[in-house]
Amino acid sequence: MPAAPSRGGRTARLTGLAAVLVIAAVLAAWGLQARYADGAGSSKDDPAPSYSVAFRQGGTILKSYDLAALRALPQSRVVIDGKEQTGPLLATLLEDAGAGSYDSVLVKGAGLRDKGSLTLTPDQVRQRVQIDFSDRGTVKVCGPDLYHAEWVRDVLTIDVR
Amino acid sequence: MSAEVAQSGPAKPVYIWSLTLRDLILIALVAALCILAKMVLRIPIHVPGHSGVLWVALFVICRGLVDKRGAGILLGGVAGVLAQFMGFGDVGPLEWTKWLAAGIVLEVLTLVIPGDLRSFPKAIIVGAALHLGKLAALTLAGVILQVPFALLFLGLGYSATTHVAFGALGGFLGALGLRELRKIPALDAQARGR
Repeated sequence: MPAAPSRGGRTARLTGLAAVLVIAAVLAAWGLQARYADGAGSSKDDPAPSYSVAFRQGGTILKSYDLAALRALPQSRVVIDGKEQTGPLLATLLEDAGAGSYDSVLVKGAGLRDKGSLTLTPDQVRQRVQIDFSDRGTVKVCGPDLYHAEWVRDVLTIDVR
Repeated sequence: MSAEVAQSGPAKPVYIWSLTLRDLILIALVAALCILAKMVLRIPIHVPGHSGVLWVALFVICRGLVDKRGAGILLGGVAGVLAQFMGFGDVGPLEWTKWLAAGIVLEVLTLVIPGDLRSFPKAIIVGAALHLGKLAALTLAGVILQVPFALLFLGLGYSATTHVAFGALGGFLGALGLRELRKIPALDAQARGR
């Protein structure tokens, strides 16, 4: 009759199993990242879009900016709470997209890490509201005159109204 | 005779409905500390999940000091409610799910792996897993909120790796803190439910 496993052996086995599960979860995350990166891995009929910010006016997309296009615009730098935020000003973006006169600008994001939307008046847009490139490979809208709670991360669309 | 046998048998599990006022205050305090640590202490190292070092350590310490079944879930729930409604305003609608998920993973692994959280291997694995659980909940929340997959999974592998690393470090620090705290007789008695 086999001896009953010791408590120490059982602990080691379960700790090892938990470690394997953690590593498997990390590998799965890398797999998902690779699968959906730059539109790869989805079907040809319905390709997953790579990250870009759509600029719309009256429901029509004026222009879409990927990260390279945003980096190609004149960059502005501002330090907020000790952290440097670098990217084009929203006013620069509006000008580049060819937006004419407007009453307000609605910035919408994924809404996962914040409220996900911000409405700005033309006066606010002129007050150093800008884009910043995040470490995750997306952009956020921020500014020294905006409350931190107003910032929109993972920006998806900018609607000019 | 039978009474002696009953007393020397395996300890009966204690559940959260037998929490004392001291346990509840400790859980509430640690939950508030976790949220404050995440909100206030922003270390500019630009690596996802770095704030986890502190709150994961606090989760491990709290569960080690309140050794009652369900305490981890309660801790996660209280932290979730505080994170969602504390008034900082810059959180998503499903912020609470991240903290609850972390509490559930903490509870499950604490119960499944024998021994207490002063054991370094156990605390490291629990810390890594609960931090990863929080990231998994955030990702699931993104699926529920219909965030485009291309955006949701952007940098997820890197993020998961750093979450595991910082969670493991937090678990290690939690075990270290727990060892020191349990040298204090009052806290040791608290951890043993006395």
